[in-house]
Amino acid sequence: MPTQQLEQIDSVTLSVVNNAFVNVCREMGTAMMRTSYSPIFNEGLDFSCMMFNTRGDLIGQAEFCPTMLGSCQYAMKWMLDEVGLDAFGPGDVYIHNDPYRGQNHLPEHLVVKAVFWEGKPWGFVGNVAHVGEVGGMAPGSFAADATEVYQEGLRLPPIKIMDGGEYVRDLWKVILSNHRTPKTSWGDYHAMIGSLHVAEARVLELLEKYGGDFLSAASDQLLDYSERFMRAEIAEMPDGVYYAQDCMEDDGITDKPYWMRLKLTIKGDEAICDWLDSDDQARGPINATFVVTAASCYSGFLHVISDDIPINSGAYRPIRIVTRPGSLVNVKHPGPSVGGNTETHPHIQNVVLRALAGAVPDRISAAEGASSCNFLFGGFHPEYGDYYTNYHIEGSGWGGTVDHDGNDVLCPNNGNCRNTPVEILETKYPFVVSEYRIRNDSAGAGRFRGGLASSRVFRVTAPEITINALFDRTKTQGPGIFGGEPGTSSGIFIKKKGDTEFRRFSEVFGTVSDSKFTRVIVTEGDEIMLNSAGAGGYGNPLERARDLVEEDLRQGFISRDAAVKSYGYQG
Amino acid sequence: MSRWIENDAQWYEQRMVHCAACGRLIAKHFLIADVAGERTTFCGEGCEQIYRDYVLTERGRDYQRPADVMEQYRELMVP
Repeated sequence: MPTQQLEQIDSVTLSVVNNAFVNVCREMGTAMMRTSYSPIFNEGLDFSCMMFNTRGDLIGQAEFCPTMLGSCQYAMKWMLDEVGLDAFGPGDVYIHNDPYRGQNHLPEHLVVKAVFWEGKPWGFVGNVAHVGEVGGMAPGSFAADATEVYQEGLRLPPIKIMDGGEYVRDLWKVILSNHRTPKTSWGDYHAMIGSLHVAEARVLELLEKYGGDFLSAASDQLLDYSERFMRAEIAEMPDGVYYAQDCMEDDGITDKPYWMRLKLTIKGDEAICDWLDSDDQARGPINATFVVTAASCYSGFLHVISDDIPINSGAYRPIRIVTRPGSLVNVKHPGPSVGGNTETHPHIQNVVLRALAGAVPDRISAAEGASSCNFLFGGFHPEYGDYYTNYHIEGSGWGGTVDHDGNDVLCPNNGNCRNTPVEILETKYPFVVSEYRIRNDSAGAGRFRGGLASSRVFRVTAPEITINALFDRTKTQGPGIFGGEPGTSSGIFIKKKGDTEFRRFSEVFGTVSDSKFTRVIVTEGDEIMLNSAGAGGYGNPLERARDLVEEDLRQGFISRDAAVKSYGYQG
Repeated sequence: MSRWIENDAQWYEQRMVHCAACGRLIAKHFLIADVAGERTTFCGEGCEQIYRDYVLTERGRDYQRPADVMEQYRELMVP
């Protein structure tokens, strides 16, 4: 392929190039999954692989976490602005996890490596991953009662972690000295960096095949194509101003709700997402970073348009964000934000979809469960002796849509992660999972009901384990839409050894919040129940097809009482 | 008239500058513009434009959310 061919590239070739970029990212993901140490990566897939051009635009991605894919361009652009393109040499790897500089929250680390072609950087390959333990006040680095970022773990500005292919040993020592599980972090960082090497090799093959100028022109044209695509989709929506709001039930510090509010303006082929009516930032760690809010807006729009669009920075250009620094949707330094990603993020995205319901009512879904049910634990393993920590998440229901029931027991759609199999949990950590089931009557009724929630019980098999939790929706419910009913609330409960029933953590341990707490010590024989939240239904439940009601009854998804009460079932 | 300037904070300082439109923290280079007689900071030309065209006209420079904002939104949301 001639390298000077810079005119408009035909759509077939552009499509081939786009798919090649997607495949590079998928192969990175496979390398990451197979070589990482932590279940959060090799089972949970809480990472995303991507490609950037030298301006920091996202040019390639695959089916990873929407939150990371919406925010990574900000982290990359920040890195380029701060350290400069010239700072990147062959074999260098930069790392960065600063939530104020473009990361969703502190545990997520971006590593990037420049791909050199003809002596200069052609672009970057990157991997954003939620490192399971980065220090701070709580094992697993999810401090539900943190009041500042310094309690959440070790914060890294954009810095070089590999220099010309060699370890920057002093930095590695500092990082690993601040993590509770340095051996695991060592393995996980190498999996992240290894995925960059895989991607670099594949991008170099593409550069050999197409040439640098051609591939740059193709990626630029893909950005422009995606922008035109998104503009055309927005232009088809009716012009107007649409509103939505939702709240976080508390922040772990103060027992009051915190509200996020969107005034969405659709005008021509652009959208303005104005969050200025949101509450001020919370003292606790439910604050969203700016990029969480931006990614929620992008993800919300991607949910309601054709999925033929190549997802890259071009797709985001017509969506404008307006926020106030120091608010729930744009945390200001040194405010904490670890739960702003996993918890507030799905709420924000639900608000975006709720606002879009005014414009495209047949393309949105009702609210999802919107809590990752973050459950973190750590301690010395009674058999292995090592200190361990783990970040565990639960699936909740997804909202009903115009023609489908919501998906059951899936991690929030902003995260797109998987659950961890019981066998893996029991092998690696001193718990027995004594129960894991779908909760009946947990879905919001509707013409198409919400997705169902789950219930899981962990029994402690070690002398003691330190646990932390950061849930939401334990006092609120994911609302239904157009007559649909809300889903059930989530919850975390404790049954001390010898007790006969589960109780709230505030009752047993005196925690301020029942859903957000840290450093609670549980002991052998105690049981912890994690209930995820059900999702809202879409449309009037009385209009639900009778055969679907009967199938839910047969499956045990709803009780006969609920069938009668919510669906008017007379069978 | 706007112009790009570089944050002159030393490497050991944490001097935070936010965009007046999108609200995000700005890395190193930011745009200074005179907007309605006030020196205003942006992360780029796009945000300067949205500030002039939307924020100033729809919200005003020092917008404060109204006390009954929750009720207002409740009435304006789709059911």
